[in-house]
Amino acid sequence: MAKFKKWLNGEEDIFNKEVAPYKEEEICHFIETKLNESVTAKEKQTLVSRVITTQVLFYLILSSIAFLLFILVLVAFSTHLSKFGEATLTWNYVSRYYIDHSLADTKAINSITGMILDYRAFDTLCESFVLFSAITCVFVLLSGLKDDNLHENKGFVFDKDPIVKYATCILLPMIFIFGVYVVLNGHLSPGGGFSGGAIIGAGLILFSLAFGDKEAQRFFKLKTFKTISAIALLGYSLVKCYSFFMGGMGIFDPIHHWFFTFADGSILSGGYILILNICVGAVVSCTMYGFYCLFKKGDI
Amino acid sequence: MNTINIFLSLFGENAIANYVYIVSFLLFAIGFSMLLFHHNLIKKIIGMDIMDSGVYLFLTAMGYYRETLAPIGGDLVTNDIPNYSNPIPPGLVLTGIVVSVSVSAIMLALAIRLYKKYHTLELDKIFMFEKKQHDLEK
Repeated sequence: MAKFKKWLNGEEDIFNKEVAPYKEEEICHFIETKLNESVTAKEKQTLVSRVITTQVLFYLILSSIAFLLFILVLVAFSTHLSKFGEATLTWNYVSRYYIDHSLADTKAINSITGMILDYRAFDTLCESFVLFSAITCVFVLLSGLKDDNLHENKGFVFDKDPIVKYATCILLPMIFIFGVYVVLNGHLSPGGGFSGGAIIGAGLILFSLAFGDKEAQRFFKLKTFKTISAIALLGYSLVKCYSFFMGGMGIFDPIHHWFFTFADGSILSGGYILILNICVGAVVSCTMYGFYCLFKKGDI
Repeated sequence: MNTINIFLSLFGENAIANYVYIVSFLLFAIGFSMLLFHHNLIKKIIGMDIMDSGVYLFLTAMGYYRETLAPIGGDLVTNDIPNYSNPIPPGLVLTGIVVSVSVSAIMLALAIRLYKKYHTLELDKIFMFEKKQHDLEK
C-alpha cells in the first residue's frame, strides 16, 4: 500500500527501477548537467515545496472563477430543459423517420445499426479511419523505443501461472464465439462491429497475457495487422461506395435480387450491413490488440 | 437577499426531474477541474476521459423516453405517443467513444515520450526545463 502511494505520488516507479522518476533535487541536477546552467535557490524552492507564486495564484483564481461560472451555466441550463424521459419524438422528424422507415430502407431490424451503417455509413467509415490513423500515430511515437528498457517490464506476463493458463483455455473460445456472434448479429440484436470487435480484441489481449508474446506472435504479427486492416478498410470503402452509387439497397444487390430472398430477421437479410459489420469488427479488434502490444513492447 | 433571489431565478423548475443531466454535468465538471488544476499529465488524461463519459451520459439521457423500448424490432411504427426511444444519440455516442479511445491512446503515447525525455510527468518541471533551454538559446 505504501508502495502504491509512492507510485501514485510519482516518487517511485514500481515496474522499472532504472528510469525511476527524478526527485526535485535531481531534476535541478539534470537541468544543470544538461544545459550547463545553474538553478537558482528560489527556483529550487518553488519546485521542492510548491511555493505559490503570484503568477500561479493569478492562474488559480482566474481558472477557478471561469470554471465555477461555466459549471453554473451548465447546471442552470439543464434545469430549463424539458423533463427527463418526456417524449419529444413527435417533433423530432429525423429520428421519427429513422424509426418508421429503417426496416424498409435498410432491412436491418436494429434501427441503430441501420442508421450508422446505412444512412450514415461514411461517418462510420471515417471512424474506422480515425482508429487506423490513431494506431499509426502511436506506432510512429513508440516504435523508436523498441530497444529501450522502458518496455522490458515483465510485471504483467503470467507465462508460468497455471491458474491463469487453464482459466484462459476455458474462457477464450467463449469470448471469441461471443464476439463473432455480436459482430454477425449486429443488424438483428444489440451490438455491431465496434462492440464485437472490442470483445475479440479483449480475447486476443487475454491470450497474449496468459501465454506470452511469442505464442501470440505465431498468429498475429505486424504483417497480419497490416493485411487485415488494409483489406477491411478497402473492402468497407468499396462495398459502401458501390451501394451508394447504385442507390442504396435497391438496384444491384446480387445476393437479394438474383439468387435468394430472405425473410426479415434471418442473418443474411441485412445485405451489405453484414459485410460492413465484419469489416468494422476486423479493424477494431486489430486496433485494440495493436494498442496493447504497442504500449507493452513498442512493436506489434 | 436580493442577490440570492437573482441567483435562484437562474434555475428553472425542472431541477429535480432533470437529475441525470445535472449528474452528467457534474461528471464533466470533475474531469474539467482535473484538466485545470492537476500537475500530472496522466491525471489530466484521466480527467479528459471522465469528461467524455459525462458527455456520453448526457447524450444517452437525452435520447431516452420513459416507458419505451430500445429501437430494435420488426414493427417499428411511431404514433403520436412513441413506442421506441430515439435511435440517434446511441450512434453519436458510438462515434464519441471511438474518437476518445483514439485521442487518449495518442495522448498516452506522447506522455511516454515526454517521460523518456524528462524523467518526469509533472508539467511544472517540464516547463522549467523548457524555459531554461529557451533562455539559453537566446
